Amino acid sequence: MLLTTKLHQPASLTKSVKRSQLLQRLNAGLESGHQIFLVSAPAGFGKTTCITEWLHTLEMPFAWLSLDPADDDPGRFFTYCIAALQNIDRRIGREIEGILRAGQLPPEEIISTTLINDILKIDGRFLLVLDDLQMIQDAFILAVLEKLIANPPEALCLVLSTREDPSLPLARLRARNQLTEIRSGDLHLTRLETEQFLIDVLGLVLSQEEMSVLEKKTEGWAAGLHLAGLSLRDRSSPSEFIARLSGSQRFILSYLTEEVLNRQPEDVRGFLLETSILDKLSADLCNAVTGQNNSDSMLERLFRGNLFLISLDEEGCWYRYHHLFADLLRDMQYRQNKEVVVELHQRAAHWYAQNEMVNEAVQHALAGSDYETAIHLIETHAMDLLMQWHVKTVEGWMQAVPAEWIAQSPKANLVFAWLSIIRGNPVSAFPYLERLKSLSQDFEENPALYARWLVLQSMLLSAEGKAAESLVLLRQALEVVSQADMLTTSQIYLGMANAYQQLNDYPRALEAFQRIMQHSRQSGDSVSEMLGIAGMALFAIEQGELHFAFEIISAGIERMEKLDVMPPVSMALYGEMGVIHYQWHQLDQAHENFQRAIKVSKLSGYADAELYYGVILSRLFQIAGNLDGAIREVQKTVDLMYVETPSVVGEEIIAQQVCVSLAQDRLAAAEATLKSRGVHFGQQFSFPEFKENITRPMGLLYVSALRILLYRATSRGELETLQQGIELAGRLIDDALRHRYILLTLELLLLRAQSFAVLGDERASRNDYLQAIGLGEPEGFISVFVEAGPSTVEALSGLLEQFDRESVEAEYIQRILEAFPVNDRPAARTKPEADSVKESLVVPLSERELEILQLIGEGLSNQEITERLFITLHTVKKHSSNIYTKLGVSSRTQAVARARQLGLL
Amino acid sequence: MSDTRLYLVQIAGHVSAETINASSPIKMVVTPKDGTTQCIVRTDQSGLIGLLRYLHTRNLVFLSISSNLEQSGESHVP
Repeated sequence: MLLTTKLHQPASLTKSVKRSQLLQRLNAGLESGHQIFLVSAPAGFGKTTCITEWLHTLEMPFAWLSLDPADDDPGRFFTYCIAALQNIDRRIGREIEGILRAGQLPPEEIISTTLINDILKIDGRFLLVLDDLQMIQDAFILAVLEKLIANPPEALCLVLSTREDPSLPLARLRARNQLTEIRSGDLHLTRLETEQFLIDVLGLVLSQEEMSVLEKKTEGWAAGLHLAGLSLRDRSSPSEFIARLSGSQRFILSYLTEEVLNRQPEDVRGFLLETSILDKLSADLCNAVTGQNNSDSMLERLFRGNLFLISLDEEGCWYRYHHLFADLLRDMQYRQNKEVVVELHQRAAHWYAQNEMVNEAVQHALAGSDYETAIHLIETHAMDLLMQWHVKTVEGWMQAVPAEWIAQSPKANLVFAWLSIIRGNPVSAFPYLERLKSLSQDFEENPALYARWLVLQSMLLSAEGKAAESLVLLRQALEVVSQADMLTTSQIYLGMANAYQQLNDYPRALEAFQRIMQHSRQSGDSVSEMLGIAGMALFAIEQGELHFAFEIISAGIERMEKLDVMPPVSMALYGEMGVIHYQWHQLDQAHENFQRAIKVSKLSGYADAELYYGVILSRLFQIAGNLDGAIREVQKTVDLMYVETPSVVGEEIIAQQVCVSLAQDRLAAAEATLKSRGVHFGQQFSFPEFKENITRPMGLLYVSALRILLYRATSRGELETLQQGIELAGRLIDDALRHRYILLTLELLLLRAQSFAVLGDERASRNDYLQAIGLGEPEGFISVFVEAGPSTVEALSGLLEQFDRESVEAEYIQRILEAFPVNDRPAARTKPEADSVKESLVVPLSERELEILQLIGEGLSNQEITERLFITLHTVKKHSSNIYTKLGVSSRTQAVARARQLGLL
Repeated sequence: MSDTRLYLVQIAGHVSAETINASSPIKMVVTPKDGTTQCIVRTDQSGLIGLLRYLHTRNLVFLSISSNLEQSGESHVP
């Protein structure tokens, strides 16, 4: 739950001193284009007052974020920071917000880049005030702020209010005169401002001499002057009192606070001291803490009396004391009524717990040494918060609870075990799980806890590659878990699906995914439902059931977009949707979905998914006739590939590297790529031994090897090894068909068909093509034929004669032929090449259209083009439409192919 | 508290001026001396506290912090 008071600039006094000089300096900074404003001074110097006064004089929109210690947690900080920025424009941080809501923390460079790009879309400047920035010391948060400061988007002016200079590269900005700075020396009230404050704001009547002495004694320090003014109210001999003031600021402050308190009626003094333990005050909360029922009027009275009470919202519901005043009140309360403080905190903890403000409840329970309540709250809420990536907050609680209390709580140990796993250190989870087990000797009495313990143990086993052992525990967990425990049940099914996948037991994995979908739909657990859909759809695609996969993914995406969350699993949904469109040769839709999948992968920090969809994007460019784009995309994935890249991703990259190398006639490079996987060419063709139950990664390796053999046969006449390849392909096809891996079967059939043709066995070649047509037609596979290259055009054109023109097969073949790049199509191949090169446009493209066409050719989405050229989406679409019309095409891929044909790219 | 002073912060080991000033909140004059690094900065207390935290988060070890350079007559002024 977001506390909206944090997003509201505080309001303290009804009247305040006009700090004209400071406002002039701040305004001068704005006028000279400064984007960073630092207001750095200790407490009580009037930083917040100065900034709020400045904001009121500006016509610029602004966003405010009041920071507190709990915000030093990246998940919480960015949730609030984005909420503040969305007060300027709802579009800012929408994607990050979705990811954060789904319990993930995007990498720092993604957060900074996305925020910068989002703010770049904003017209007009605005201010973002981060108040009390000294609360933020987390390196992750500071790294993002550092990037924002290094590359501030034009619209953003960042105002940093802090008691100490933040660990940010401000020296650089200062040296370049890009920083406006207000420091404690600047915040001192001048003689004139002191007079205005004492007379106009506090309503005192003092002589010039008295004011002069007071200014000297308080050194123009706003908090000291304020307290002195309150102490002087209704005093008969102000001169005497002023003369007594001496010592350091801290001493004066303590002295004056006591003076102010002693001058208050008993009920006010009691209220101030008792409520000083609260960081925020509302009437209801104060009633709960003080046991009174008149807090509403009391708060109003304090506010009107200028007693350091600051309003945190427009409705007057929430207040806080000035930090410095609150510190001193707490000191006094602790000295005078130490034993009462504990009870006050306990009352506050219960109020916050009842009002579901968990962090505040835990903090007060801890401050009140009420560990029973603290542990109860942690047991109840910690897991949910961990799933929302508020890891640091939970860690902070756990560290604050004495070890003996943690040691007695099974659930607290469960939380610690999860923390270890989330922090990427699963080994350190074992002691907690052991303790959990020893504390719960009789798990039968607490089956829910037992189920969670089993799930965690199974996860650790699975991480060690012990899928079978993991499954045993998950089955036990399934027997004991309550259906009401939705999170654990989803985790069990997910664990089972993963384990079955590791064991290559696809039917059971599929069943587990179905269970996830059923269960999570009933329980309303949308993220698990998406995981189930993604897993199931992936199977369906591998099994060639494109329409079924399309249906379930479409429904999944629609539900996800309605829910307004963007869990990392959404990248799988978009990516799989892209694969389906790709196979149907709907390249624009495929491209759009891949771009979205890659974007979510980046936002979520999932490098593997980014690589996977990046490599399919390269395939897309290649079949669209854009070899440069294909080379660029595959090279990006090669550059990002790392030693432990999973084979399901790594083999896709290698396979595409081979394709691209062969398309460039770089046989040696293609062979070198496969050499790292144990495939050797030359006199002898050798390859890793083929075992039954082929997997997609292994299949891709063999497909790539066969592709090289075919190339060697056609370019060098090496037919012997091709024969060897055909034999291997036969065994692979049988195995793939047995498992109904339709896509892999089609890839192998088409390669074998081409190989037979090279060896002169036209009949066998024709049979393979016919089988491929029969397998591909029901679900509409197109692109796999295009990937097979131009020789397929001739073969399929030959097959056309065999079918009735109105037949399903003929219509299907015709669609495949039309999908080939223009130059590869039968009509184009018969047309004299010179004609096509000389062909020119009736209406030439404008310079802007050419520029946009160039970017389309580079694979940029419309959104990316808007960001590159600083134009609106509408303008890009308009230009694109004109380009299509002038080129006589209907899609961007066709446009690129046509532009290449015309030599425009 | 709000006056600016000249502070000398002595750090164990040698650290280059470029490294230490690359992302610091306040620019320092950095000189090596007998196996230590001396950083001289003119700032107020908020600046000093921020600077110390900046150095601390970079795992630098403080050997001494002093602020009476002007009285001592040493010529450190940046």
